[in-house]
Amino acid sequence: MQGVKVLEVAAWTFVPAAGAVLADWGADVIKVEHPETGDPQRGLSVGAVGARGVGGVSFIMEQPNRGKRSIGLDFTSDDGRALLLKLAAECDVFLTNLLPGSLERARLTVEDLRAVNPKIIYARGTGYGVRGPEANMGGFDGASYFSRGGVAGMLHDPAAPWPPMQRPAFGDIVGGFAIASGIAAALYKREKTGEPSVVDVSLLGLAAWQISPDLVATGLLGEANLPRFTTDEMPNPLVNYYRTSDDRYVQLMFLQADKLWPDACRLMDKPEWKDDPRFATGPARFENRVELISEMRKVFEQKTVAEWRAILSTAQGVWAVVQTPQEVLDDVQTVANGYMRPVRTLDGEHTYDLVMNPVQFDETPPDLVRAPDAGQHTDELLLELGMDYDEIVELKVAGVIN
Amino acid sequence: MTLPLEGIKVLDFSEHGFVPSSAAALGDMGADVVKLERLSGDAGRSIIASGMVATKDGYDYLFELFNRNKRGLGLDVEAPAGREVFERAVKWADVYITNQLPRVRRKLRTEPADLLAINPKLVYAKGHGQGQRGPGAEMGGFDGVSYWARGGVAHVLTEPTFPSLVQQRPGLGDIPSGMFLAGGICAGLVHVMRTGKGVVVDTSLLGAAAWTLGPDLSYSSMTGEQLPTRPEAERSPLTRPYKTADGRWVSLMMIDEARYWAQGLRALGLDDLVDAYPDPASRQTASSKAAVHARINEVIGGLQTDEVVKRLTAHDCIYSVFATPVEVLDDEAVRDNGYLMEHPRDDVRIAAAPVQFDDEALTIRRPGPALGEHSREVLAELGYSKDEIGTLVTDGVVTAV
Repeated sequence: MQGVKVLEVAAWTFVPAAGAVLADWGADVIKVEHPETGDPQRGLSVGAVGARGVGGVSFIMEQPNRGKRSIGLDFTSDDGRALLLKLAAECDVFLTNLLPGSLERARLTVEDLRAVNPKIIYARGTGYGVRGPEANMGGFDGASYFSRGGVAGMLHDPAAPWPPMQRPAFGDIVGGFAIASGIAAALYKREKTGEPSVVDVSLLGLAAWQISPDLVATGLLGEANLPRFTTDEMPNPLVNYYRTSDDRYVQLMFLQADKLWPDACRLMDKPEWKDDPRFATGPARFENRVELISEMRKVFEQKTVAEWRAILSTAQGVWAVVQTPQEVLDDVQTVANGYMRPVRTLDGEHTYDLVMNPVQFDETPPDLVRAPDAGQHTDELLLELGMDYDEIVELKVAGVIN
Repeated sequence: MTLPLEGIKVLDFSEHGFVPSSAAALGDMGADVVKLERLSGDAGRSIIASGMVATKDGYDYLFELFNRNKRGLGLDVEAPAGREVFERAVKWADVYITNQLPRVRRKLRTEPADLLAINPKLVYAKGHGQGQRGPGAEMGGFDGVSYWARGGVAHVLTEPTFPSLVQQRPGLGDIPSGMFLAGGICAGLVHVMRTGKGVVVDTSLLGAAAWTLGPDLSYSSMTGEQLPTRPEAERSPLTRPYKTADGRWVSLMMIDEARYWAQGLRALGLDDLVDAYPDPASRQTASSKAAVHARINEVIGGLQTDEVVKRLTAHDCIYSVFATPVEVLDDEAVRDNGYLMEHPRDDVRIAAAPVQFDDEALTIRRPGPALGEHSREVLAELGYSKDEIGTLVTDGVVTAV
């Protein structure tokens, strides 16, 4: 994406995350922020934690904004809007999370942008799509994606006191990537045909994609939702969680159960189960699954997670320990593949890690650059537009930029 | 409207869910996708997802979901004649997609270097479990382990009060990961167009989990601690789940408390609380949060879900009922925006790739192919004569229906 210029008028995580992916891929992403308030995410407190960490860096701001340049610009003023359009004239992509109504009021519709740049790709992220009665309703991933989109409902174990809470920006981050993907497809089309596209992603549409097996099966089979099994009665006991003696969990994922059953008996040191008529075949294991799961639990509860890691390292089937975030960070594969990439604080004093986007090109993880401070690159960007310092100072005095 | 990937040719040599779903997304976006299967077919054709055999009239919903908008070619790539067909298909393709493990790629001579030698402008895309480096590169993966368990997702979604770990739904990790790979392929196509050089694209289920848990992981890497989950009681009463009289959960999500305080409470008839806590600071104490939470709980707990929805909607509140799939299927916004595509089988709807272009919904142009359904058609496009195709089929190098 080297040479691609992106103008981002967006706040929070969903749409900015798309800008972060494009920046990871080499695009020059210009983040437009209000000169006084900046992206409201800069003040967001997440999980009882605000801007805390190395050198006062806000991790929730940093993750979706690394690698960008920031301009502080009030586009609700005439001068500010004119400047924004001037920037847009130089860009390949306009990226926004403003709702259709706000875009109309700000006179930043597709037509407004195309009037100054007929080839600009116009990309929007919304809560509930750009059509229908709720096209102008704001959304957040916790509501639009996680709850309304059915994700939480499907993850809710009826025995749990309430549905799981989504993690910070859990849907936003995936949705941001979907926008970046759409923009890449549109850039390809524009290179090939010269035609620009409008690209739309909504958090609700994202949820539909994400829980599509449930949706499609439900549509196919009618009223009933897909059956859910508790861990006591999973239909294939070799695809289940098992608790270890130190209160950790191992997830077995032996989908080809008939093929892998003898190996599973070896791993569990239960050679007598291999030909036991209760368990020897798929139908028998299904029939006696409650009994088998209960027996397997006893086996797994005899050893620690470390012991099981060692034993399962020779398994023919696929398995994993249910890991904590710290274990994911330390995971040999996370390290070997560069899924966490270091960046430096502005003063150069500290380094910390951000998560790379999940695509690598030519087998090389990209280098990341920290998120900008609000308005950090305003002067630089305006000079690139051909303005001189006198004009810039004038706009600053008028409060149009910072 | 021309779809963005119209004219792009994709050779999809992958099985199961994750990687085929990326090719399905490219198909949704207009690419001509040929699904290449070994003679025994995609293992996904016979897999029983989480023990569910949700088929109807012999129709397998999972296979369909991951393979719509593709044509099918059945081929023995190890036979010398099959290898020749394969190499012609690689020359034909703009994009090659695979989930083969390294040892299979070495055996089949389908490594990036092998195929880029045949077609130097190829986008070569691999999806795998644990990344292409390190000891885990040679290991298989499924989303239930590489994404859900090892990637930390199950751990962070499970609260201490839950009786057991949150279970993954079928394909929940595969499907976003497929979109990630598809996005990388699109970026790769731009790269080829601009530089004239092929590119290798990699996505793993573990890397996908890392991206999805970005805030959690960035926080832990900065502080060495796990991002604390704010205890229920410390959350704003405008961002908590509530249970309705008919036992459903409603999630209030008015994160901008200052903006929504009055309208959120008025929606529930709690006007007195608007006046009781006039300034934001007065709402931040534990006792005020508890008091407001209790009142909202009382109101919502006494109302049917329909009524709660009506009141919150009338006041433009940000909220949602924790929907079931049946409700998502019926959701007005899902319907109006075409998030579920009509399938040629009229009682089936299939989720579309979550990106739309030029204000038009995506469509299913063809259902998932039968094994070898388009073998003859594809071979003809690769330049084989009718006689040559006949020989390949008779010799068992190609399956065709």
